Amino acid sequence: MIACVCGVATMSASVAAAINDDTDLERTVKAVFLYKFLNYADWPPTAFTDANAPFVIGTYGADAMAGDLAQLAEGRTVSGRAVEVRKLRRTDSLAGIHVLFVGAADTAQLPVLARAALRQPLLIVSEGDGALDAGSAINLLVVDGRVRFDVALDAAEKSGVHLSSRLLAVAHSVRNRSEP
Amino acid sequence: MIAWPQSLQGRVILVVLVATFVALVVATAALALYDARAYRQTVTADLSTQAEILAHTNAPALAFDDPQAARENLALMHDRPGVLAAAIYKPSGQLFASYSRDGSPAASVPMSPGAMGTTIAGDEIRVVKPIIEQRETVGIVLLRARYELGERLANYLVILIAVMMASLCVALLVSAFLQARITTPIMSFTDVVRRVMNQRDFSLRVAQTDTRELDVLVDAFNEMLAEVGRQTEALAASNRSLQIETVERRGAENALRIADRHKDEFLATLAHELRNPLAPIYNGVELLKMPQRAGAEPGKILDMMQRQVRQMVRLIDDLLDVSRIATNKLVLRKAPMDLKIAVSSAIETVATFIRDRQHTLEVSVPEYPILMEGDATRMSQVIVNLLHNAAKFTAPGGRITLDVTHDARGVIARVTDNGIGIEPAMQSRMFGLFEQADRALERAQAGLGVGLSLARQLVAMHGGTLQARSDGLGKGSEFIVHLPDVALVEHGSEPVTVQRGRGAASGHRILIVDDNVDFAATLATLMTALGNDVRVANDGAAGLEEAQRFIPDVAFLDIGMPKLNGYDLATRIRGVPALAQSVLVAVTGWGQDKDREHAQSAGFDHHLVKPVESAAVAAILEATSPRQSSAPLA
Repeated sequence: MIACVCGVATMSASVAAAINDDTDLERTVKAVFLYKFLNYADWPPTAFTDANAPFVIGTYGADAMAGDLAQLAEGRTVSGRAVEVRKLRRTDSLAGIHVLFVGAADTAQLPVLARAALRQPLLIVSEGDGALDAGSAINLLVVDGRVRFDVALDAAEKSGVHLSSRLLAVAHSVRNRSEP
Repeated sequence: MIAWPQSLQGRVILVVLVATFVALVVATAALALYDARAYRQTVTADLSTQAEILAHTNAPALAFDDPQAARENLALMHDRPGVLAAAIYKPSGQLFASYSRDGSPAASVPMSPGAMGTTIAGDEIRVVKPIIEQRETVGIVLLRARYELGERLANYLVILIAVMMASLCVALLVSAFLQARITTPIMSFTDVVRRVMNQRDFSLRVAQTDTRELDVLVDAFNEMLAEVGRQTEALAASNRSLQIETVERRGAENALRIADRHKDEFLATLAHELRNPLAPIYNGVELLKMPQRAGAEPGKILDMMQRQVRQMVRLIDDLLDVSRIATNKLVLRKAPMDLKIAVSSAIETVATFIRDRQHTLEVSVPEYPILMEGDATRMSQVIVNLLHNAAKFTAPGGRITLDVTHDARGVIARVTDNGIGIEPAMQSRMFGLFEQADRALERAQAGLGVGLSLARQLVAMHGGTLQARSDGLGKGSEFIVHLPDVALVEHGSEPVTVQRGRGAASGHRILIVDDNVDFAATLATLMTALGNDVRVANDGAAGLEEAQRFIPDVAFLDIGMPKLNGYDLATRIRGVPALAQSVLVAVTGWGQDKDREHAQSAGFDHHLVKPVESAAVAAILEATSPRQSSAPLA
């Protein structure tokens, strides 16, 4: 079903080694996407405690994904910052989190999480149907056997995270619904 | 290859054109080189930038594995006509997305990107660049574009040719206009040179120009022209004078030739004329020697012989006179004279000849004496010659008139006849020496051709003119002597003295000294007959003795004598005081002027040439007063 992802998988030998089947492959590709989003999004300076403070990616209901991410971020920096991965539980605070991945099973939690995002610069990435309507900024999906993503620009802007136009150029679709 | 033009104008124009051409080619080549380099740099930089942009733009597409987006990005290259193809490769070298202008990616995009950097091959430039994102090579971009240097250079060539054509046209126009400044002075110079050569006119000059070097040439040439002109002038002048000399020399040669011919004719005539009288004289002598003369009277024979001798004497006298005139030795013995007496004397002289030819002679002279200063003998000779001439050239039985008049304009003597006349062509040269009428007449009317010439010369020596007139052949002729400047003298007694002359030829004491016994005897007989007392001696010594003894009034002395010659004898006689008053007369066959001069210096008073005419002797006697009778006469 997923035919042409080997190009992306080869980005990292460690990721490639973890590929066991289609599900694993899809998750790995999604992890790479998640990691790369750091390159195409800007957080306000207030989002970091200092210049060397790391990017923090939190996963919600997707521990396998957290493992892949941790593997990817090992020994790498993005814009001079290290990347830290945290597995979050329902009770955990979202403070200090820059990117929050919400697994497909927890899509229903999105509206609550989105409200939290209004209080801090937080980019919410999801992988469930109708996630954007629920308050997610970027929703990953599979189109024609390829991992793609939709963008809800207003959600990201409301949170204070600015998405690069270059990212929007490769997005599957971009929604920019104005607030009522 | 353009031939090197012969004309200066052509060369100037060609030089300008070649210079323009070379300058244009060099300038264009430099521009083209610069442009080629600039083009290469521009194209390289441009394409490099383009690749950079493509890399940046396509980095997300590579990152999120979106070939579609990459293709769409690449398709934007459609707006860049120079870009032939573009491609994005994954870091592994695998083709990710491509764009091709003609729509066939396989043909225009290689499956792998090849080496990094910029390569130019033929008319194509290729840029291969890595796509780097967050210090990681995420892909490779490749761009192929047209590298249009050849086309550009071709355009340059076309522009160069067009500009060159235009430039050369402009240069041609400008140089055609400007070259006149240089060539016009040279052309006008050349024009003058050509005219000088064609017309040989060395008075032409080249005008000054405004070019310094040319002016030096012009000055030098003008000076040379002037010099050549002078030389030519001098040469022409010397040629002219040579020509004139040649003409004069030819004239002189011609005159000499004519004179020579006349001399030959004259010699022939002279021999003939001298021979003519000799024949009758010889015959007369033979007749007289004969014991029985068949009816011939000695008197008639002697008369005939006398006439012939006179004729010979006259011829020889004329010849001598002509010779004297030719050498300017003839001297007139001018004295007061009566022209009428000279005329009568002349008539007497020619009367016999006129009578022989049965002419009638009519003479008209003034009744009064025509007194003038002149040589009576020569004037008489002139009239004799004219009358003789008239008688000779008139058929027997003709009519001859002699008319002498005198008025305020001078004396005029006309001799007219009704003879053969003179043809017009002859009138101009009949007074020339030795001139003869034509041959036919010459045979009938013999003569030396000196008479008229002599007459004219003698008249001229008296300050007068002698002219001839005739209406043509057969119309008779007229000779006019005009003596304008003759001073009429008024010595009343002179003519009387002259007129009674004949009586005075007698009563003299005369001594004749001559070794020619016959001549001495005949002369003595003649003198005695005239009524004189005559003694004869036959050599110089005897003559001197006789002279001292006899004391003659007049002594006739021969020059060539044995013992004592005539000159020495005369000198001796002059040395005798008693003989100082004696008139000494040289009688000789030597009639040249130097002989006369010699005689004069030896003490002679007169000089007679043998044969001596009785008239000449009588004239001398008349001029001499007899010593004994001088008292009674005075």
